Amino acid sequence: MKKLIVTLFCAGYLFLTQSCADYLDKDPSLDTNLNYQEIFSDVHFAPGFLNNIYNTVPDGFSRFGGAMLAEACDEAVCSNSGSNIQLFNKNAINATTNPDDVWDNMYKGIRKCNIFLNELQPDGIITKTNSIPEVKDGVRIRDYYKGQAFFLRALFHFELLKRYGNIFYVSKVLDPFNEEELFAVNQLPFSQVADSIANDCDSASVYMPATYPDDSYKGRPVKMTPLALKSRVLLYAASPLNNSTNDKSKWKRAADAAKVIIDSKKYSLNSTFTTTFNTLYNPEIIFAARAFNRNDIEVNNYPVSYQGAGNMNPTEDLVEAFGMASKTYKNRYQNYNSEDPYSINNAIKRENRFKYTVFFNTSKLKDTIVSTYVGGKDGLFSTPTATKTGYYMSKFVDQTLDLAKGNTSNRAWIYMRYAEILLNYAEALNEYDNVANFSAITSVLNSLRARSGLRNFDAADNTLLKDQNEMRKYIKLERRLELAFEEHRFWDLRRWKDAETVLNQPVKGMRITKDDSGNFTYTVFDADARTFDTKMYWYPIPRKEILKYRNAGKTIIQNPGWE
Amino acid sequence: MMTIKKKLEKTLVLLLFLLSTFTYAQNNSPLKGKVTDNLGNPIDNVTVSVIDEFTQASTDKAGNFLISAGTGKILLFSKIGFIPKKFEVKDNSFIDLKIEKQTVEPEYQVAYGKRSKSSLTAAISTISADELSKAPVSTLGNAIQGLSSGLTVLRTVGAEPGWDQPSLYIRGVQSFSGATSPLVLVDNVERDFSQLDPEEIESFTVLKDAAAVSMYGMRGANGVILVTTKKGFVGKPVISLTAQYGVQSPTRLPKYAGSEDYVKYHNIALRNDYNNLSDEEFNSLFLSDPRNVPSNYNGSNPGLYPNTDWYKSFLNSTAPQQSYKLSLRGGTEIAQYYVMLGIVDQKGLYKSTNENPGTFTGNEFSRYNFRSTVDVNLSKNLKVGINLGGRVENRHVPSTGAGTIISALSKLPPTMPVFNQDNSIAGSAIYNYNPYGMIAKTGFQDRLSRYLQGTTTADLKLDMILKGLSANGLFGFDAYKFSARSKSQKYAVYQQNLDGSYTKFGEDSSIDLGYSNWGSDFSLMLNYMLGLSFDRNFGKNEVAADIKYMQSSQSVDGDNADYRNQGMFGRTTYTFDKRYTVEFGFAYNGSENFSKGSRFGFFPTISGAWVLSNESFLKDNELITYLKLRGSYGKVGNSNIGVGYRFPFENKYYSGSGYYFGTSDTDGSYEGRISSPNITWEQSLNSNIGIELGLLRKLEMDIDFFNNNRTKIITGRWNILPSIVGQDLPYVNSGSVRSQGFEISLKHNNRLGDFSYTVQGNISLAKNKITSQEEVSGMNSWEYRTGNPVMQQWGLQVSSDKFFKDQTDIDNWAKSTYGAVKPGDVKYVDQNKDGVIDSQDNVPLGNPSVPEWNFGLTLGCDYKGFDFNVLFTGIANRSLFMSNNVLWGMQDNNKITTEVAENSWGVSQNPLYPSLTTQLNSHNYQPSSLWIKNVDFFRIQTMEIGYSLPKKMLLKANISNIRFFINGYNLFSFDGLKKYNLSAEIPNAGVTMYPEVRVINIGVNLKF
Repeated sequence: MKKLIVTLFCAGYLFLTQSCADYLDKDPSLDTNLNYQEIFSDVHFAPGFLNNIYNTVPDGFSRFGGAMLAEACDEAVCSNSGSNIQLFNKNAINATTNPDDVWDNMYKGIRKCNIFLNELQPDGIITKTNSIPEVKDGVRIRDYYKGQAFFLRALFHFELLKRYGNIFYVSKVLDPFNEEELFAVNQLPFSQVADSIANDCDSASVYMPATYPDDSYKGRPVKMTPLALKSRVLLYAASPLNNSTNDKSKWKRAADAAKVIIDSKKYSLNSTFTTTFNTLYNPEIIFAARAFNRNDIEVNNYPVSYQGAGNMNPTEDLVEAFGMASKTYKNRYQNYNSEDPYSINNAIKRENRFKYTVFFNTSKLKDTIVSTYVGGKDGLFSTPTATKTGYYMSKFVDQTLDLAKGNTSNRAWIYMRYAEILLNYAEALNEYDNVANFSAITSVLNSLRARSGLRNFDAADNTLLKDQNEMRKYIKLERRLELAFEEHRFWDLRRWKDAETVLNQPVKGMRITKDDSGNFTYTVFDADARTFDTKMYWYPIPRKEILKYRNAGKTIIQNPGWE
Repeated sequence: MMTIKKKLEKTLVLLLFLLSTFTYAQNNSPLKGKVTDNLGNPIDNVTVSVIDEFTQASTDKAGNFLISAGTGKILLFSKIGFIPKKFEVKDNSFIDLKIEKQTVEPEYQVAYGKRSKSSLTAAISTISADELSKAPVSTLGNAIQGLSSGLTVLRTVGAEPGWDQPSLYIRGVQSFSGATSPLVLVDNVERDFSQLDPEEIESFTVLKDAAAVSMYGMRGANGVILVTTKKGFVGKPVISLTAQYGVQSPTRLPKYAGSEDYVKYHNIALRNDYNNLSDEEFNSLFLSDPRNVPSNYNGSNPGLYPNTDWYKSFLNSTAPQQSYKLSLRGGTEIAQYYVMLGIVDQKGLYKSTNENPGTFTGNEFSRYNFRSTVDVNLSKNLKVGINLGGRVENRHVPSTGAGTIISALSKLPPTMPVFNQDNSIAGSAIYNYNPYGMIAKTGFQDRLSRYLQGTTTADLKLDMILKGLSANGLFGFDAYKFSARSKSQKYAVYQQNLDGSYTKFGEDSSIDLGYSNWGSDFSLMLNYMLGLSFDRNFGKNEVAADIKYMQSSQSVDGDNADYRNQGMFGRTTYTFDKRYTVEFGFAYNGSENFSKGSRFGFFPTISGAWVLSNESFLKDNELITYLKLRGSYGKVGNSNIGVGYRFPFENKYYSGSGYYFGTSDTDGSYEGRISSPNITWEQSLNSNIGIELGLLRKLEMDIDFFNNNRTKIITGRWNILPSIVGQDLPYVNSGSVRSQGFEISLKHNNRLGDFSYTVQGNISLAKNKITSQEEVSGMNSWEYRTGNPVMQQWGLQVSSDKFFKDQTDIDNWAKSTYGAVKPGDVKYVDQNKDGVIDSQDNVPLGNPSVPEWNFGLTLGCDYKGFDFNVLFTGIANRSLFMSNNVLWGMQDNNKITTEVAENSWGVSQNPLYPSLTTQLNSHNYQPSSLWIKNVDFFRIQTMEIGYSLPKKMLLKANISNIRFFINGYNLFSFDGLKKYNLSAEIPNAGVTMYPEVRVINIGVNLKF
């Protein structure tokens, strides 16, 4: 009797510990989970791991809900007063609340690059399993993938660098269980990070082919792409914010870096300004983030009567900066008539890029006229998100889309294009030695003028621009117009240390009223306030990160003014 | 008097005689007799049966019976609560029999067994089947609210038929990360109970302390609910038929201002929005539009200037529901059976139309339940039971979800018509939708669920090996099949312009010809359990022991691993002299959630009870008629740790999310959260002290105090480790929560002549506090979660002057990060004084979102065939943010209630709400002290009045009982949200969710 119980109990125990011990294991035939080994040994998943990283490349159309970074400087006003982009304009950013905080996201991209690079090492899984072959169709494909990972790692670090300055340069995969190693990664000063990025760009370039191996690679970076990023990094490093002693050699480096791209002749200015933004691939694009079947640009920015939210409202300040299509730069405002600012009646129009950048009152969109006068269908006060300045954005929008029908098209957010390289080059040369390089500078600037339908500098312009300050003014103006809304001016104003002046005054709008006989009256008014505290030259490092380091007894330097 | 009574008795006897001869037409001569108790009082309803025959009879009120039985036959007299007695028929003489009251103590259902009141060491509470049937609701969870101490039933969604499951908590919320809902078992197999028919349920038990849940080990920490379905019994078959018909009507629906007021306030809001315009400009831009002139809406031209009541236009004031149940229950010594069929049909509130002939455009829930239970004594030692239950649930709804439809009703302005003057569906650029389109013109969905649940049990007595020993087994299978099909359609809306033209928004399409099948799910759950039990008394010593092994698997549709459970558990109880009991329980079980080698845990519990009233010093005490102390302490666990996915100990990589190169998408793959190889279950050390008291034989009282320490709650390394790792950081088991509270339940029964009454009440308190969580040092004191209840809510503190006076006030105050601020907007306190109002300024506000106090009070009585029962329920210490249109009036183009409009800034001298705006205002509507409200309520939950026809009227028809009843559910609530016309329990019901309903129901129950 006792024996029976003991036997039964033992049987039960054995049942549980022996035959059934594996009962809670997953049935391998049903296990669809992928593990590390499976990913990197697979011919689809291994290269796919890199492909996925491209999703982290920022897309300036979608970073702030419906708003864009241009609305946080003097380029535009956001018509949505509740948008978080407004925090920049009212100086309400802090270490907890920053709509442009990319800290976590960029480090996520960086980790992916480092994991991928690890597996490309000689003892890595990709190498050992040949999941990405060394050579394919005559292309050193494994090197190409390595180059891309270096480039992306550089790009993500640059995105951090321009925002936070002193950041952590992470070049290995960090293990959260190894806290010692984790906290041993050091915060580096701006110049060291810039150098590391430049080095990564160089490494990337070495591994990459000069052209796409075939059309299926279109859109991936090639040899010159990382060097273009290097040009931007070095330009930032040479700029007043980061070069307080105005060390000319830094400008020299920046100019040289830009020249490499120009000399390579791999890129050229696209034939027209508008198609640069509406075609996925064109000779001007150096690198872009792509998105498909999108109409968010139009949903957010079409004038309100076209079922858009009308978010981006370019400022009168920007509009005023577009000169007339005059003979000379010097006389560009000669035919300007403040009673007819958009040349409705005047034969002499503003330069071409104006209408490709801004929708103004009487602009044409889809066979109808944009009416931004007070009482007009797109006018001030017509709806809560109607324009606050009298303008809407025409750059980037695909005018063929009908939002009522839900049309979409494929567009790219251009991260780097050739025009920027030309401007980088001109700026760096002008700062390095404007006298010796005068003709080189005017030559690249003239190429941009030509594309905009403007004539080359004439003698009067040349005389004026021989002055370094005048040339600097011109280059700054040209950057503002050519690169409007492309997330340049926000950073340019900072690196030039111009933000504290430019962004401490209200931005203007144009209030247009229509009288009974149909005549318009134009009044410039203050559309929105701008405030810029010098601490905003650098974003605060997120408070949660500061707290973590201090909690662990480690030092971390917060940017000035944010303590 | 006397003569009439005697005559009646005689007639009755005669009737009975006729009846029994009619029913059991046999040659045996009828036997007469009378059954009394030992004091000579007659006992009614005693079943008299002839052993080994089907002949049965029962005694009447005077204790008399008539039965046909031959000499030598044995009669069995039985009645619940009395000791069964046998009587051998010797001759034809009158049988005068006395039966004795059973002094057996009440028995309680516990985990995998039963315990008598004196040997019960655990904290449990039970709800009887009778109590469940008083709430005319289809979802059973809603019928148990307030009936059990320690159980919180919280409705968080509206009463959409078939979608109104409440949330359940036993002793509150005890984890901030893991699952918090109790384990539910139906007939000892883990199953959902919410769609069972109350008719098929025998008992409902809430297991609360460690001793009660010890056998569930790793799965018991949130408490356990045991549902037991009915079985047959030995006795004459009882057929029961119930038919009910009820109406549901919305309890509270928001009351928005009509067109005239709406336009008036809308103009004020517009003026606030365009405060930079001069009056002249404002008038010419806005007030020149005749649609903005309030007086135009005086009713003289409803075609152009309507005053639409959107709720009335689309919701019926009542919706019918009906249910029918038929059951048959009975059996002999050899086999007992219970068979039940239940049908429920519940219509929704939407008004249906003939838009698509052949298709019901409203919403409807129908359910068919069946149960068939047979227990057979195959031999003296072997008993086998087969319990088969199943149900079919059909849900028919418009393709547009209830939330969207109700939100539209709550948002659309009264100035918009349902249909334009040309009969097209109305809409506008802002409101490019219409509930008519949503309900009638977006198509419909049919969601069909089928369940088949079988439980087979076997019980083998092994007395030949060891007296008191038995072996038992259970095999359960649950098959579930879900399919969903739909037809869809699109509709356009048209805005009627001032010039008579129309602007179209959207596209029209005709309804799909064929069904699209978009959902399908199948799962099969298999449960095995084997065990040994020992139960024997040695004089004053009682010993009971169980040991069981179980495993279960549930298949998952598609290429996914089964969900599996496995474990061994047992319990030993020793009682001495009905005075002292000590019990040891344990479970050794595992979870697939943890890595191999560390997936099993051992969970022991010890408990004891001392029945003081069985001690000599209290025995026969007239005041304290029962007194017991009990205590328990043990370790239980929670393996549902709240990771959100399975197998968190493995590293996770996924395919997908490639990038577009060239002209096509490429392959992608990526890393998931870093694995947590050492992750383990939540552990809880639970202690409980209970007192059970009986006073004057009329009052029973149970008091329990508990203290639970939940530890090893998963919490994030992400609060501690730097983000430069670049991946979601692993989980660690380092959080802890302490929960404490008490429960009191009271029961008082009394009979005064023909009048008897019952008072039952319970009150429970469950408080909890996070005692540790990974949080960094150096934060502001108000930011720490640690030290606060799990369900604590955070928000901004509104300053004492509430709203900004003017622009200077705004300029001198901290800047908001939540949007533009104008005079009349909410003024928040800058807690950390950094000049910015942001998430760092959020402080703990109000009470937790799950109430700390729960009450229930039942009053019942019956008198001469009438019965009456009322249940009051209540909760306290619960707060919610009122985040809906009713309080947020007008902003983002919403409607407004006059309550809010009249008390808003700029309108009232003493404003309670910010200035009116038509625009989306995210600054004012942050969670803040302005919007958090106490949502305690006290409610008449159910009320029932019944009348049973006198038995003598029924005898002829061979009906043993007819009872008519009328009952109601959710009848009346006392709370602070009445002035907003919002439900205190579900403030979003009727605003962004399906409304809450009240049910009035009539029914009849027949028993044969």
